[in-house]
Amino acid sequence: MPLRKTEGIVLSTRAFSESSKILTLFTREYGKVAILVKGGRKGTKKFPGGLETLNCVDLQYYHKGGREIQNFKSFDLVEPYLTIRGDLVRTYTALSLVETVLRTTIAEDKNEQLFDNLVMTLGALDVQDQRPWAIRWKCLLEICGSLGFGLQLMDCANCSGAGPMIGFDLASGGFICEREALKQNGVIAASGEVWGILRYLEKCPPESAVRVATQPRTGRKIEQLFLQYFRYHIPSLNHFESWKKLPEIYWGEEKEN
Amino acid sequence: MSGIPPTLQTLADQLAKLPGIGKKSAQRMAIHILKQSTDQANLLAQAILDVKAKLQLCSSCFNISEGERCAICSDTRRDQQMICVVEQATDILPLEKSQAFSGLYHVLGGVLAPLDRQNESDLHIEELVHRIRRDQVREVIIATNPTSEGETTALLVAQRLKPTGVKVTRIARGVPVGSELEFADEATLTRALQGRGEL
Repeated sequence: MPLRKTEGIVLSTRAFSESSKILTLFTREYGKVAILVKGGRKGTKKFPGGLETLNCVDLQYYHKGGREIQNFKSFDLVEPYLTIRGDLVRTYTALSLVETVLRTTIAEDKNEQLFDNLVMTLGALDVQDQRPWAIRWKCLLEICGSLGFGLQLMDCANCSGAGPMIGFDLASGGFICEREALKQNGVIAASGEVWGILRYLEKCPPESAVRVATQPRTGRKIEQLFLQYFRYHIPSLNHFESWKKLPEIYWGEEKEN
Repeated sequence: MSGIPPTLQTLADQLAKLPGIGKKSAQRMAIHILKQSTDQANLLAQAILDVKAKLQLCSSCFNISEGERCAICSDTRRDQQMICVVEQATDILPLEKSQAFSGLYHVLGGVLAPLDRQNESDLHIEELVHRIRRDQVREVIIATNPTSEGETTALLVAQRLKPTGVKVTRIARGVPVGSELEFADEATLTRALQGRGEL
């Protein structure tokens, strides 16, 4: 059985039998893989405690074609992102991105761009203590791009005009400026402010994402836009559990007016 | 087809549903029960029925209990102003075995794991806040597991307890007794150094 070595981010863990666990990782070399770690729930010398969700590890496992779950050999902890874990808002943000990758990728589909984006984003969340939502949106834009449905943020998706933008077309992934288009199916209201923020995030380096200031109302709109856009492209995604609480965590409970 | 009588097979199938019991072990256990006396088999059957009929969750701490309040909550010799928060009732057993804690417990009933659809509303956090206010609790020790989910839950519980003004502490995390530093990972060592104590 060939031994594979790769770097990976732990996306999820689940208990298996008395003391084992099954990890799902997104790896640089082989995409998403599931690994059975026998005895992995015991705190022993062999499994000292780095096999946890969000951790970046150097992994070695035995690969056998046709098997859904591979067998673990060993690992070295590369980055535990301890600062993220000490902050509830950043933990929720990181978990939401990890869940996005978990639910939108298929097994053993290599995507180095997506892996690098995830590592870079977790690194940014680990050092930046403000506006985690902006880091999240920047990451989601990159995820859309690397999964093949990147947003078109240059000009109006219908007439190539420069705006002002009033809607977002789920099918083309672009903003539109014509009022008439809002009556079409698959077009949702989205202001020029939303467009401006996403346009800035698309071009800025990851460390500059936190410069984005936004009102809670606009923030909620952007969250809603991403949710609908992901669901449009991946209809089987009927839930993103970790996304649900985010608007409340970021901006508090929504006040009706 | 297997040559095993259906009644025995039914028992083996039921035993195989228990955690850590495979099909072969379940068959061996079923045959063992068959070989036992009728009295022994009745005792086993009755014990299983009693577990379902007589046990309930403690109305105060959600531990497993024979009555409305568990033995720990009913024990007036224990420190009533100190609460140790655990994930599951089974986590109480090793803590009690250590004899290092003499206060009360509060069982959350799980951990915050949004990826597994386990959210705040599934945990007994509101009841904990109510208990702290009602019983004038002095200190809450959060003893959730040092896993990713356990740490997130600890942060959430601490956040929810902030308005009560109670002292909230977290069990120390670090190098296990009897192990060697050489085999400890970076995260464990960082936590061990952060939580170091004066000698």
